[in-house]
Amino acid sequence: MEKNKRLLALILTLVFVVAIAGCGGGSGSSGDKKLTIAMVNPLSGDAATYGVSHKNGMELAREEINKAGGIKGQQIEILFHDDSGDPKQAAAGAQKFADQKNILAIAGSCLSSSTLAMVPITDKAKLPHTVVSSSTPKLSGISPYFFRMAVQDDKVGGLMADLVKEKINAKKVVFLYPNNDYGKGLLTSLESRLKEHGIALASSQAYLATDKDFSALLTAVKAQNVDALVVGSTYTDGGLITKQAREMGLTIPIVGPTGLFSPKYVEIAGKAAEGAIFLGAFIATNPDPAVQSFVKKYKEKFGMEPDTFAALGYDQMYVLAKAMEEAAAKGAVSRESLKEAMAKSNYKGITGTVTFDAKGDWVRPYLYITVKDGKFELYK
Amino acid sequence: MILLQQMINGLALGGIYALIAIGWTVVFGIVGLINWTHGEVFMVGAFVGFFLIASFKMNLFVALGIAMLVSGLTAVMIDRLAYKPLRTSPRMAAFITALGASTFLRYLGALVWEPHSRAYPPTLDFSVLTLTIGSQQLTINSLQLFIFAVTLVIMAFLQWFITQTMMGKAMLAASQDFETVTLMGVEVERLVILTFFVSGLLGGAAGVLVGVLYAIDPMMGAMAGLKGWAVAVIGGVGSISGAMIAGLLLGVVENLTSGFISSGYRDAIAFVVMVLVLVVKPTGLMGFKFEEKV
Repeated sequence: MEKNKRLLALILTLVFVVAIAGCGGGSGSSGDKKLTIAMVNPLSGDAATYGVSHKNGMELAREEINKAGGIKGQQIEILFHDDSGDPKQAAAGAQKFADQKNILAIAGSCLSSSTLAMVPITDKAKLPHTVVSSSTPKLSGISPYFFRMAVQDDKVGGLMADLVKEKINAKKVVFLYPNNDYGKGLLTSLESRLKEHGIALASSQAYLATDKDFSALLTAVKAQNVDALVVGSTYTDGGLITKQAREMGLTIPIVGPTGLFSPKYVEIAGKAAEGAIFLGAFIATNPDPAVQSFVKKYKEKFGMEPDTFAALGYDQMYVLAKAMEEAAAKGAVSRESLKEAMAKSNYKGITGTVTFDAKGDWVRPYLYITVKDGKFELYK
Repeated sequence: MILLQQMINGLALGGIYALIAIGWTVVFGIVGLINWTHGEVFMVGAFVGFFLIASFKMNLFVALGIAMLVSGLTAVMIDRLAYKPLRTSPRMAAFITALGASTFLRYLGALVWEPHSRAYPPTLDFSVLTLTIGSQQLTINSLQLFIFAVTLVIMAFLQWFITQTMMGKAMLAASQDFETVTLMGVEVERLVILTFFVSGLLGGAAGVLVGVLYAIDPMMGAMAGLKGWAVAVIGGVGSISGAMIAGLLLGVVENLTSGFISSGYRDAIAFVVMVLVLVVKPTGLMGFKFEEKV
């Protein structure tokens, strides 16, 4: 029965489309009742937490938009493809959606490796493609159809320098970073921005990302009498540096990138994490009423607190909706008109004001987040 | 002054290296096997300690004791399951089995405990002692001092066990001449079990102490195992006091390397020192060689 119904629905839809296309003098999708976008994300496997949060955030926003009447009476629809964190499956998903001509835009994946596999396909299909993470510098300016709602890694160093200037007012700092592409990228941008601010970089020391004992490096830091310790770490090495610095009696402020904004950082550093300052895009305890209203709605719908991916996904849906509205004002929404509108995005959401630079990257300041009594909160 | 500070930093880690190395060296000395699973026994000890302290809020010393016992039994189990059936086979068979068992246990750990880092909950209150000498300052953390002391106590106990008790003397004798000891009526298999148990105890202790100082993950045994072996070679394989001295030496040298050269070379230095020692004195620092009589 169910199958027959679906088949009937399909046939009817086809008849409708043909009929409308015929009536409309060949102007394509203007009469479509639905605007369809797609998402490729890890919805199962190790990285599923990111993908599911991203999906939930978008779904919440989509429902709100549709309830409010959609885009000029057209409802938004999202199709999903689970890549389970595998770039091959992500590419397959991108190809599948690129071939469906009614799909106007694609979101995801959360993982840089998967996104790198998808972009050549979406670029070729001239399909607008937007992500909320995948911060590798390799994706900067990769395609005019690619829009990244994330700051690329190389820029984060400069943002840490801003933090050091604004919040600590340091004269002299030291930088410890993992000896990999990520750490080196941070060093370059941190160095140049510190110079602009007139802050001295007393020394910068690389370490192996797998190091566990930082006492030798920290002894050298201590001897240099600096005002702040800047780290380019993720949560494991950052947590250990923080813990061992405090154990050595080093009391200067510790500043880090977005990688420290993880419960694991607090777990590893323990009490030593108190007072560390780092960057983040979203925090559920932000007193901003717009954020609080989102947190409340999200908790009601999904029964858990939203994380950064959920908040960015929520904003991303609105960014897409605004761009669709812009495009719809000039005629039928197509991949091309949506891309034009996306490039001009200027939407103030719960994670900040979304704009894209010429390379398709988000240019934005981050929130400053600190740890108090073992919990994250906004740094004042 | 920074030189002195870097040397102090290295002591706690050096003590831990010494514990791992002694675990290697007793097994090699008596059974004649390069026991690659020792790094994994060390990892098991670290995780057992972690769960006892994190889940049961257990006192550090009680947890240390239980983790040592569990590691000791793990080492005995590995011997019974993996090595015993090959006791009479060529040495290469046991060696390859050891490599395989080590890989198996490492990835089993990653499967069961997830391959990310964890840190022990705060176990001890520490205080930072600052000594001012002239215009220079020297900081000593009581936690590191404590860990160094624990490793010394364990090593002193081991030394007493080996030289003063009958079982220990049997182990010492076996390490010098296994065949003669068996001819004297010592039951070989019991001696082997005892050896693996002692080796596991030491590995487990090292694991818990690393957890207290740093962080643990299922892959931690790989590098620690290799370094433990390097320390055992530097000290002279089979020599317990040699392993103690070489362990402390390596801990200090590593810290000096990452403090004054680059932390990128810290892991390499263990093997550089090992090669240098072997070139100068092929039996290791404290190694000895019995003259073989015809």
